[in-house]
Amino acid sequence: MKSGSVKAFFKDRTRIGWVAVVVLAVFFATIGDPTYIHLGSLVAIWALWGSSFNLIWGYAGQFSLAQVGFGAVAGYSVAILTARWGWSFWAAVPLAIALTVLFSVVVGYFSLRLSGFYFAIMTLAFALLVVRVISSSELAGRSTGIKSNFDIGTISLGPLEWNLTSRTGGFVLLAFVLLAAVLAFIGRIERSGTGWALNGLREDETLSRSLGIEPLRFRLVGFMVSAVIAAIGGILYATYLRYISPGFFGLPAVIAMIALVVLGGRGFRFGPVLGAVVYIGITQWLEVGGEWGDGVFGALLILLVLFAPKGLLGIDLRRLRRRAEPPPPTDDDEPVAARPVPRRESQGVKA
Amino acid sequence: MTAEVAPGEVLLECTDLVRRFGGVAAVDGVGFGLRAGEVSALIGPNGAGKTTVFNLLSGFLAVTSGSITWRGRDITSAKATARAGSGLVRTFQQPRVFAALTVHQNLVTATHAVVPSRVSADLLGLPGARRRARQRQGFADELLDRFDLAVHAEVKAGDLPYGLRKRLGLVLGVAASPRVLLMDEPAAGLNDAEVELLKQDLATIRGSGVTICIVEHHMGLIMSVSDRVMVMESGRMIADGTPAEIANDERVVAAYLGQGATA
Amino acid sequence: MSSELFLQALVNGLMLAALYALVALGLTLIFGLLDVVNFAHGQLILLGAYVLSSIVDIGANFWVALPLVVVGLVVLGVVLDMALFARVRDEPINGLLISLGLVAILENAFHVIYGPDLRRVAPPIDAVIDVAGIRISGNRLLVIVVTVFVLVALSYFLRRTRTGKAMRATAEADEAAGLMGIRVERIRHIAFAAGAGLAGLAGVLMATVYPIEPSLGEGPLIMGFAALILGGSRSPLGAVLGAVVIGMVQSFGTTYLSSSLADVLVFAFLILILFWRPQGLLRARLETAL
Ligand SMILES: Nc1ncnc2c1ncn2[C@@H]1O[C@H](COP(=O)(O)OP(=O)(O)OP(=O)(O)O)[C@@H](O)[C@H]1O
Ligand SMILES: [Mg+2]
Repeated sequence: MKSGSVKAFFKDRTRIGWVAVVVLAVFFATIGDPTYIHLGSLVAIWALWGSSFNLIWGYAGQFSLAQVGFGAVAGYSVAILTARWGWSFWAAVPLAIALTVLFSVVVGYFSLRLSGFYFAIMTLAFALLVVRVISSSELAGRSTGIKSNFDIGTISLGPLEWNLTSRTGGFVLLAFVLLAAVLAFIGRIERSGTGWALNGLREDETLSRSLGIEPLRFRLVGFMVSAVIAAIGGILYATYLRYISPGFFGLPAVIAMIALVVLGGRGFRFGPVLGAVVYIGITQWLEVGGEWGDGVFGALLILLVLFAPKGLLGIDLRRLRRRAEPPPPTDDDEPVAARPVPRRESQGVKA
Repeated sequence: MTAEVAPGEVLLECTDLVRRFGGVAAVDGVGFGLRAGEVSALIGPNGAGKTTVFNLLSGFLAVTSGSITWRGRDITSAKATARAGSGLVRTFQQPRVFAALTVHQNLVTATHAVVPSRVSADLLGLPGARRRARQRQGFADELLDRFDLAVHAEVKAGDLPYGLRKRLGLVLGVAASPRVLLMDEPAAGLNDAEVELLKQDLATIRGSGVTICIVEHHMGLIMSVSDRVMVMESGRMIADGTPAEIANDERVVAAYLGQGATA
Repeated sequence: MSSELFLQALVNGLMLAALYALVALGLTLIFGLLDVVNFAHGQLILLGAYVLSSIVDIGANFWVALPLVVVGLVVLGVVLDMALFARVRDEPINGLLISLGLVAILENAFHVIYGPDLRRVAPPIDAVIDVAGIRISGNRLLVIVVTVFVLVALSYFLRRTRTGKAMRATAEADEAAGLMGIRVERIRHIAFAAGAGLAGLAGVLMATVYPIEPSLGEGPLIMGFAALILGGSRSPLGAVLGAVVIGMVQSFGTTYLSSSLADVLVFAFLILILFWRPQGLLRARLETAL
């Protein structure tokens, strides 16, 4: 292949994203070393959680802190159904996801009328409410949690056996396949009328309403879809660790989820993947800064917010190279940086 | 653009509209009808209540009392989005565009009313979703051509100069496929060349069968494009007639002189 | 016996209310004047507690350490605002994100320096006071007394001093305040510094009652936000009243149910209030009263 055509292939950022996901999946799933299986699982799970938040914030403009709570509802549902009530894993998963979606509708009903700070705190209150309910429930194992040795088993694909058991390469592959499916799904939303409507609502709610775009309807849909994504992440997390406890779903998890989306680039489909790689890379893998890993990550977050608020994918290399020239026209696939948490809209329309 | 409308049929009608803010009645007993095919103007001094009337008609503000009918149906308490979806569309006095999206993306977003999203089809990726996505693109391209915006297609709307932003705001309203288009001061802040362009746009829009109601301070524009002029002062309608009648109406002249008229 | 339980819950509730009031006031100043939702507030509380323990460990007297910690946090507040938050004023969400970065850094620092173990500070007051049959530890009383003192001082500051009045004007309408010749940026630095100082004070007071551990700041942070919302989010008086409500709900919930269920009650209450009255419990009339 000529280098020119390679270059052309990679001109499209989406393709780079897909190649990166495939490379990560193959790398982590085949290397066989427990450390890398651990890292790979975490990257995929955090990328999923990040994608959930990215969809609701980066695309729909709603700074929802409830995503971790959705993950908790799903993870605990599966754990309780299998470990306590003897359900099979595959029967428990659909019910868990359905319950999570139901919960997201409740949260949405209460919160979607609010905006800005109020929306953020309302959703945070729900997330923390879930954690507190869990830690006071005997069924959910209170603060100790539930041992959940899920038996996912193996899938036979013709002559191939795909072992999905946690802490194997097969599990890592499963996590990445689910991540890829979610990313493809988000891509579909991006190109659809629903995606345009969410875009419009994020940019200017009043203008959108004047064009017939119903805020509640589309935001609720965004909320439900993001809850499904968070649910997949939560279930995978519980499956991977073979254990679930309220400690996973507290404020620190909320913060990490936000931080990795900002780091990768809010509103970029593959932003959370990059964010998760950097997050896990710094704090767990390369151990950059030794015991100061989290601090280095925090400092990196601050630096990006100050100097490149669109995140790593939002850094325009061409512009950096050619400072003097006027800004180049933007790529088709370049999304819009999420607007700040809007302040409360006053009633009616200012003339 | 679906159903045929008999010329002269009253599309939008309001009666005894009242809207109070605190104790002040910004709109105080206004009533009129808009006939299909007509270009009407709503004028009046600053603070007369024109924008408030538009906010009431388009559903962005609730009426204190009075009623609004749209093609014979009572829509007094219908949602703004439902009104826009059924063809009653408004634009804004301050140019409103999706600042961070390109002009083309702005138009695609605005085609929502023409090509409504079926959420389930979008999420499931049914063939209809793809077809509608193509329809949207096609419709947006057509508008780019029709309003000479193609050269700016890939520019971020927020980076456009004021005049173009104002124009894009108007075209967004057109993209929503209105039967009646309420325009709030489309000429405000435009230079003479841009006003000329606006006149052409108005002709184009009218030519496509859209009924127009304009709030404006630009008298030259009003007198040359409208069939009918309504005048408001302090929340009340003080005159309603042809441009020629209005130009000679004493109360209108008094209202404007009292305010220091903008011609 | 049950009336004794009730009184105990009441006193505990008052103490929690006092702590949450200090936190919520700081959050209100920062949100009201800078539009920043400061998630790092919990870590500033913890910083106050840890630094206090270090100073006391060196052998200093508690009463010497207290002002040192508060002054230190005020200075840190000015530095943080000038170096970081002032650079993202036009995008409040970025202020929130920066505060998240600070959370990660401070949390990490505490972990490295102090480890996960509980630390205790020798309580400054040894006495247990016996009032009508209930025993109140002198330290809990101290929390309440110091907070009341600070509230009175702050109220005087906001109402009577030039800087305080300028702060209120800026919170109402920053542009107008700027036009009137108020140095708005300076006022904002002061607001952040005051917020940080209040957080430090809350940390010091908490250290006299609770053992210091890495998650000590999380509870007050969340409850501080809740109090802020209940109080209408931009009103100092409202924040204090919100803190009283939440402190009481939590204390009585803990006494009669369990601590987790008490939190459930608080969050459920917060959700309902946000849903029914997003403007907070208070009417606008009271908002200007302080
Ligand atoms: N949301 C609102 N709250 C309070 N008062 C309002 C509101 N909107 C409009 N008003 C008041 O109602 C009156 C009419 O305002 P409106 O904007 O309708 O005037 P207008 O005729 O559009 O004026 P202009 O030509 O300056 O645009 C004004 O006195 C205005 O202050
Ligand atoms: Mg107006």
